[in-house]
This record gives sequence, structure tokens and C-alpha cells, in this order.
Amino acid sequence: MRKNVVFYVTRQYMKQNKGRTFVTFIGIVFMVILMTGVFIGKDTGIGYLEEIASLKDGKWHVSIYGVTEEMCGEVQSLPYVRETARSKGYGATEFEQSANDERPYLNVKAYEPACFDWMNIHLTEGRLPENEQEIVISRSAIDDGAKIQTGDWIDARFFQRSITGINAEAGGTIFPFFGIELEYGETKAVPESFPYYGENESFRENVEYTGKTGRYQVVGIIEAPSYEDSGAAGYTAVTGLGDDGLQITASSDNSGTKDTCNLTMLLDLEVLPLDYAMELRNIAYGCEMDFNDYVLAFSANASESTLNMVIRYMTVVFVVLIMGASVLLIYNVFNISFQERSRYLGMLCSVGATGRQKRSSIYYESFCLLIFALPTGILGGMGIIRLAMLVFRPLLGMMVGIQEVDRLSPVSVRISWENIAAVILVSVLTVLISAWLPARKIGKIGPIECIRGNVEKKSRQYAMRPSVIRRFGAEGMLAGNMLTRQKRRPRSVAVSAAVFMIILIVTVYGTRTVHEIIDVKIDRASLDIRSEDYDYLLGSCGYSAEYDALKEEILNDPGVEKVSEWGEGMFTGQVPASVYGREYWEAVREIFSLYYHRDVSEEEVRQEDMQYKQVVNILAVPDECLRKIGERAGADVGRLMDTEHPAALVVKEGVISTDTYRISETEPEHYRIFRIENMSDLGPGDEIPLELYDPDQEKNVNMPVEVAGNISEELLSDYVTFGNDNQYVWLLVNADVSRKIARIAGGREGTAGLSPMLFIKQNEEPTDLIGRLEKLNDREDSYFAFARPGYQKDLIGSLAEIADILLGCFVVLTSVICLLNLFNSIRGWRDESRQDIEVLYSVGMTKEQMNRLLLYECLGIFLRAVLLAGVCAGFLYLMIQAGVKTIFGNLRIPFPAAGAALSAALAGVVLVLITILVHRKISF
Amino acid sequence: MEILRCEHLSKIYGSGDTSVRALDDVSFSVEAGEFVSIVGPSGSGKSTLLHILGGVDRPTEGRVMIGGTDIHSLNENKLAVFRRRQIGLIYQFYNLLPVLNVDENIVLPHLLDGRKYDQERLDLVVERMGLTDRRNNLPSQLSGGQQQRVSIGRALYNHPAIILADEPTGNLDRKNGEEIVRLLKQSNRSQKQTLLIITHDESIALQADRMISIEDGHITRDERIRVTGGGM
Repeated sequence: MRKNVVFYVTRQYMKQNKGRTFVTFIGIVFMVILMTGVFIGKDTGIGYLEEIASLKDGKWHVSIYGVTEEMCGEVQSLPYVRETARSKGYGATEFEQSANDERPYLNVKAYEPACFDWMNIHLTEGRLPENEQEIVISRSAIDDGAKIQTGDWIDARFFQRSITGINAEAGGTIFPFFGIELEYGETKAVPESFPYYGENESFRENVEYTGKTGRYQVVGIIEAPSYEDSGAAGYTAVTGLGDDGLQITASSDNSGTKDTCNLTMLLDLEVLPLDYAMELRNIAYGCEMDFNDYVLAFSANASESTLNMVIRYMTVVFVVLIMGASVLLIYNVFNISFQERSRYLGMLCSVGATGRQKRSSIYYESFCLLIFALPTGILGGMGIIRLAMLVFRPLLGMMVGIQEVDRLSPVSVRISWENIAAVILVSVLTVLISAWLPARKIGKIGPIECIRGNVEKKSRQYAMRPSVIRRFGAEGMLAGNMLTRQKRRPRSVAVSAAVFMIILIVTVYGTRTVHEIIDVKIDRASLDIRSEDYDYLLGSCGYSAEYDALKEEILNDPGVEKVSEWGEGMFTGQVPASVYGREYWEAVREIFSLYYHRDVSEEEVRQEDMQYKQVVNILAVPDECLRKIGERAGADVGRLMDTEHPAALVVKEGVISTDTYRISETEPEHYRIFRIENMSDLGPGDEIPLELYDPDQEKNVNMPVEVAGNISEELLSDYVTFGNDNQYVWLLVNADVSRKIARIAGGREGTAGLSPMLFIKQNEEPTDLIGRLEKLNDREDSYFAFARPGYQKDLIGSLAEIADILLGCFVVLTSVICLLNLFNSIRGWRDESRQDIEVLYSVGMTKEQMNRLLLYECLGIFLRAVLLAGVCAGFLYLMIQAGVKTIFGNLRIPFPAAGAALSAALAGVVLVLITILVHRKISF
Repeated sequence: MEILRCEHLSKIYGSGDTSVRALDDVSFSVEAGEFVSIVGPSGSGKSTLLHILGGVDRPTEGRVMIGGTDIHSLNENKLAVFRRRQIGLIYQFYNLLPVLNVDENIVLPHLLDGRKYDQERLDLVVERMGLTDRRNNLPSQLSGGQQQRVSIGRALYNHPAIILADEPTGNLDRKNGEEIVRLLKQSNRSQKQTLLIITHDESIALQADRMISIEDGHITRDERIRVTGGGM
């Protein structure tokens, strides 16, 4: 005898309906695969990305420079600090074997053993140092011709470098890349990356011996570490760090303090608290600190909290969407088979089965499928993760700008019991939710209703609708009646189609949201001039005589087809606060309120900020281009191009946020971004009292500019785009006006104020111009930068691409669930319509009429699905937008109308195709 | 006048060793306005014969001529049109569309023909079928007898040349069964419609003008009970 007849009957039912059971099983398997992808795939992917990212700067997580013993102890005792290793910078020493006059030193560091691994020290020959008397030297020294090899000895006498201004007439010397301004007679310490200038007229290099000496045997040659600057005066050399090294008290590390060392650590990312960066900063107060964001970003622990938020946000969105799609799939299957199921359960009920037993039948079926789907899905998911990682391996390296992925060990799926448990738990929960509603429904109906199959019958009247018949014929009447009088069957199909649409719409919206978050939260170039038509870009510090000479040379070169000269003047001008408009100041007031954690009044803002002059940026636009832009903006082009009386086109929009408008020594309540529609309230004809700082006269010079018009960023976007940190008013001026500005603000040397950018387009003529410009760019003292224009991949670009790929994979896999769902629903619908079809054929319906009927039915279902999807997607859109706004500030993410239309069209086509396919299968 | 003639009809289901010969060389003809009952044990081929005569199934061999047309020489579309115009089919299990009300089920073949329905005729048919107060109900809201009357109404509405009824009373109680037969006979007499009825019920079979017996796919007996058009 069977122990449980309800379960036996359920099993028999499942066997009888093999097709539907199989499709449901596949759906659950896909759900488990997706869950595995989210939980295990995320860990595997992130782990692998960490490994890839570690190729760039090493696998260390945080480095603190100049920490004391006490600080070290405190940091090491933190529960989330997994491992630490110390290092010291001994300073520079003469490198007699150097063959490069510009690199006469060795910059020597001492590492504890773990640091060699964490800092990506790769041997090219020999071995790593095992004690404090052994040393490895950077390959770059050998490549430059240094006469040294393994086995040689180096005698070191360490010193710190500094420079002293010696030319009273030349005035101060600026080293912009090192943030050093050196006045005559002043002495300043320089970092190890500082170049060697030798004898020169402006300054003198000093060395101060630290008292540490050493004799080291070269035991290996290493690849130049990522932190070695090819322009630095010294090559990198690393020795072992032992107790002796740690006991020295010389001021030899980066912080310049005594009795300190550098502490590098690996963190336990599993237990890392959100505020760990703050805690480390508090412990090592005053110490310089580096976070390896490349590595940390992928485990959602980067010091920049937004990256963490993006990754966590995406994880939650993925899980919720997968659960939603799966719940609907499983629920739909049970709902479709409701009538058939109610018959056999009714029979059981008539012989004494209780409501609980009936419910248990549904749960039994769903968990029968789940028990097999779980291992299948988890194993399948792992296989897919492994496959995907192998396929993506080179791509992932490219994304983070690292090509050396070959160095990494093969991809291994990172399995943890916690993640497996999470997959099982979420899958069980999903199935439980899906089965609960139909189980509850079926548990309530009585045996007679079940057997007669008229559970939902109501004794209402249905009048004939002659108008429908007149307009759409018999097919229209039949379709209308089938959709309105037999709601359950087509409703399942409509719900499935709607879910398909919702998933697509929400994913499109999610993709845009993630992009927007990444876009607004991470600093990008403030200004991007569209340069697709040009091959190279020559940038200069200012409109100097050298620049003019170089420009002339370029213009006359036969290999140059055309050039376009722009000029960028960040912070070049100053204006009264009144030039900035009401909208801007209101946003500033709100930012003040966020920083001061109270409602700040306009008066307070006025007192604190509005009394000061405000910055304006200048953009010098080529005349031909400016004329077109002016026409596009409807500005007074004549005034704009006037060479006598300066006029400017004012860019309307701007963006300020709690990140870009910072108030020191306080933290805002939360991040918020304000998109200003009108940065200035000034209009055509108004005058901007522009002031320019004349460095020669050391005072501001007035240069009033008339507003020739205002232009939106959208109208400008064909020529120039502004970054999301564009918090100042931009003035677009013609070439003559820009020269005038440059003459005042650029000083005698012409090296300040405006920075010209010369875009160069080559022709077919052979020329050595590019080679010469490249050499100029390589010169240490060059004021010019020469490169190919265009987008450079950065961490953010990588993140955006990774997000795209993940969302793409998610869409594909979730679409499979949705398609299975849709297929299942349509099959159920058509299966139940089989008898109707036979009746219709028997009373003389032709195949064309049948096809038309199907199309009408599909159209009705589609319209219903669109309505449902519109309501649900709209609701989800509002929910997501509200959530995103709360977390990330007032991001502007419009509803993806085009994506929604495309999703609807796709769902409609899929609906019709599957219906025709299933109908043909049933009919023939 | 001969309205229906079938010649050497054979129907084989399946192939090879598992093939079943449902009809084997069946030939007969029916005069216009004739009421013919077809009787035989279960599995004798009665329903297969009716389906082939109604054009919903095709014979393996032989042909069916209705009003001079070889219906199985027609393509699917033409056969469908022929079916809805010339043949009224009545089934044991009514075969009504569950989403259509009484009126809609009755006029369905007419509507499929792309024609406007005649409200007066519809009212007349509904009244004759005794369904006036149920015309806005769906089949699921009707009793078996009422459903069968809708099915007859549907078969009669279009004035088909032949009405083919497959066990029309098989699913009904005696009273309802008698009522159905009365309606069919009434139609046969008043409209001069040819009626072929399959039945197990000897009392119904004996009310026909002619009785054809089938066994194992063969016609075993074809006897005239009364002169065509004769009343009981």
C-alpha cells in the first residue's frame, strides 16, 4: 500500500503531464542557476577581478605611512585586519653603476617577506632578498645600461633629497606635478619620484645624509614596480626588512617622521565594517594612507562608499528580479493546471482528503521539482560561472586596463558554504512563495466544485454584442469572449508576457541607473571636446611664444590637413556672486544645510559665500565653430564674433553636489547632486563684470563681457560636453577675445590663464612631425602634452562595462525563465482550447479564420499585458527612483520609454510566435 | 432526389500490424428529406462514418458525394465552407463553445460565413428550442438537455442540406432524449431536411424512415422502415 496516496497521485499527475513538469523543472533550474550566479558567481568574479586588479598595484588593501609602533599594534589588533607587513623607505643612495645621467640614484626600500608578494615584485632573474644584506634592483636600471648584475655588491650611504632656490632674478619655480613652489633662498624636501635636474640656474639639489649605511649584495633583478616613476632620479631597489632595519630612527620613510615604518595590510573582507576607513584614519591620525581601490572596489569595500553602494545595490536588484520572475513562473504553472489539478484533488477530496492534504499536493510537487533542480542548478551554475570566467578572462583584464592576465592562475569557482546556503535558502523561499497562493486556493474548494470543474462559475448573464460582430466578425467575437469570459487562461499568458516586459524594462532602467550612479559619482574630465575628426591633440600650459612658434610649425607642416584650436580656462575669471543665478544659490543653500545638518537660511549663505567673488571658466572656441554654436543657440552672432567688444555665450547648465561643493571639517548628511538648469539669470545684452588676475601686476583687471546668448549643454553636445563636476559658469568666447584674456591672465610668459588645445588632423603626406611632437612630450621640461585624443579607460569605465555585461547576462538568463514561463502559459492556454478548436473546425471555421482568431486573441492578451506591465513597471520605476534618490541624491534617470517600447514589441512578437508554434503543434 | 451518396468508403487508422480498419467498403445513398438511423455496436465504425460524411475526417478510400459534390476533393478551406453551409453536426457531448452564450453558439456557423445573422430567425430557433429565457447563458450554466438543444439550434439555423447527429441523446435522460428526437424529427418534416442519426437506442432508430446497421466497418443491413416523408 502507498504510504501517502496524495503524494502518489501527485507523482502520477506529474508523469502524465511530462511536458509541463519538465518546463517547470527547467524554469526552477534556471532560477537556481541565476541565484548561483548571483551569490557564487559574484564571489568568483569579484575574487578574480581582485586578482586581475592586483596585477596593477599589488594585492595589498591598505597602506599607512609613517606609523608608530603603538599605531601598528592597534591596527594589527583590529578584527578585520587579516595580515600585516611592514616596510621602510631608507631613502636614496648614489648608484655609481648607473649609465643614465638623469637617474644617478637608487631609491632603497626594505620589505618584510609578505610585502614582496603584495606589492607585485616580480623577479626577472635571481631570487628575492632573504635578509637585510641582500637586495634586488629594478630591471629599468639594467635596461638603461647600468653595469650591475647578481652577485655584485652595493655600498649605500643613504640621504634625503631637497632643493633650494638659487636664482633671485628668476623668481619662484613651480613643479606642478609635485605640488612644489620654490622661492629664492627657500629649501624644500622632494619625494623619491622627483627627477634629477643636475646643475641649473633656478635651483640646487641638496642631499642630507641620514646616517644609515649598508652593504648589499645584489641577489636578483625585478621588473620595475608599478610605483617606480620612469622620470624619477632613482631606480628602485628593495632589500629585506628585519629587526635591525625597524630599529633605525632616521627620518627615512614617506612621512618624514622618526621611529616609524609603513604598514601594509590585507583585510578580512568578509567581516569588514562599513566605516573601516574612518576607524583606520582615527588610529593612524595624521598619517598618509593609501587604499588599493582597484582591488577593494570589486569586493564592495573601496574607500569610496558609492562603489560599495553600486555593487550592493546591483546584488539586491538582481536577487529581487530573479525571485520575482521565478515566483511568477512557478505560480503560473500551478495556476494554469489549476482545473486539471482540481479534478483529481476533488476526487481525493470526495473520498476524504482534507484541505491540508490538498495543499500538501501542491507543496509536494514544487519541492519534488526543487529537490532535483537545486543540485542541477547549483552544478550548472558553477559550470556556467567557470565557462563565463574563462570567456571573460581576457576581457576583464582589458576592462581594468591590465593585459597581463596570463600571469594569473586558472579561474576557480569560489564556493563557500554560506553562499551555497544562501542559494538554497532563497530558492526554497521562492518556491514556497510561488506554491503558497495556489495551494491556499485549492485547499478551500469543495469536492463537487472540483469534480464539476466549475469552481469559478458565476450565474451571470452574457449578452451578445452585435457591434463587435459587425466590426470584427465571428473571429473578433470569439476572441473577445475568450478573453473576457474565460479569464484565467489568457490571464496567465498576459501575466507571463507582462513579466517578460517588466523584467526587460526594469533591467534597461537598472542599467541606466547604474550607469548614471557611476557617471555622477565618479570624477570625470570636466570638459570633453569632441575630437573624432582629429588624430592628435597638443596641449600647452598657455599661449606662450613657444606655443605660437610650435603652432606655426604645425600649420606649415605638409603632413597636417587641418587644425582646430580651442582654449580651456578653468578658474580663469572672477565675477560677483550675482552673476550666479537664484537656482544655483538655492542649491548651495541646500548643500550648506546638508553639511551643517540643519536648515541653513539664504542670509547665512549670503554671509558665508555670496560676499566673495565667484569663479567662472572660459572656453575659447574656434571662430567657425562658435558661429555655428551661436546660431544654434539663437544668440546674437554678430556680437559674439565681435573682436573689439568682448561678448560670450553662457552655458546654461551646471552640476553641484555635496562632493564638488565641499565644506571643510564637516561631513554632509548624505550625498546629493543638484542639476542646475540656469546657472546664471543673466540674458542677452546683460553685462558680466569679468575680472582677470594679472600675475604681472599682481591684481585683478576688469574685462567686462556682454552676454550674447545662453546655450544648453544639449545644443553644445555635438561640440563639447561637460563633466558631472561642472560647478562653474562657463563662458564661450571667440579666438580674439580668448587672446585678450590670455594676454591679461597669462602673464608675461603667457603660461597661465588659458590653456590652448590644438587638435591636429593628418593627411597622407609623410612627415616626422608626430615623432618630433612625441619627443617634445617626453621631455621633462616640456610645457606641452601630446597624445591621441579620446576616451581613456579607467576604473569607472571598467565598472560600467562590467555592470553592462552582468546585466546583459542577467537579461539573457532571466529572459529564458520568462520565455519558459510564457511558453508554459501559452501551451496551457492552447491545450485547454484544443476542444474549442475542434468544435470551431467542425462548424466550418477555415484555417485563415483560425489564424485571425489567434491574432485577435494575441492582440487582446498583448494589450492586457502591456497595461499590466505599464502599471507594474511604472510602480517599480517609482520605487527604484525613490530608493536611488534616497541613497544617491536626486539623480535624473528618465523612464526608459524607448526601451519599454522595444520590450513591448519584443514581447508581442514572442507571444505571437510561440502561440502560432504551439497552436500548429496542437492542431496537426 | 439523391442528396448523399458514399461509394466504397474505407477508413484505416494506423499502419502495419497495428492498423485498424474502421470502415470497410461502405456504400449507400440517401434521398433528400430522408430520416436515416445508423445503428451498430460500440466500435463498429458508426461515428467514423458520420465524421467522414460530415467532412471532419477523410476516408482512406472511396468518396462522399453531397448534392453532387465530392466533398473530399475539396481543399481544407472549401471543405470548411461547405461544412458550415451544407452540414449541421450534432454531437453526443454537445460541443458548444464554453465562452459563447446560447445565441452566439447558435449563429456561430453563420457568422463564420461572414454573414449578418437574422435576428428574427434566431428568435424563432431559440423559441423552438425552448431556450428563450436562457439565451444569455453560457453552456456551463445550462443543463445537458438545454445544451443539446443549443447544439440542434446551431445545426438548424443555417438550413443545412443534411443534419448529422452522433448519439444526440446518449448523454441525456429519457425525457430529454425524447424531446431532442422530437425536435430533430420536426425539423426533418417541416424543413424537409435530411437527417442521419447515430444511435444505440432502438426506439429512436425505429422512428427513422430507414435503418442502416453497421458491424466491424461493414453495412450488415439497410432496411426501409417507412416511406420517406411518412409520419408516425
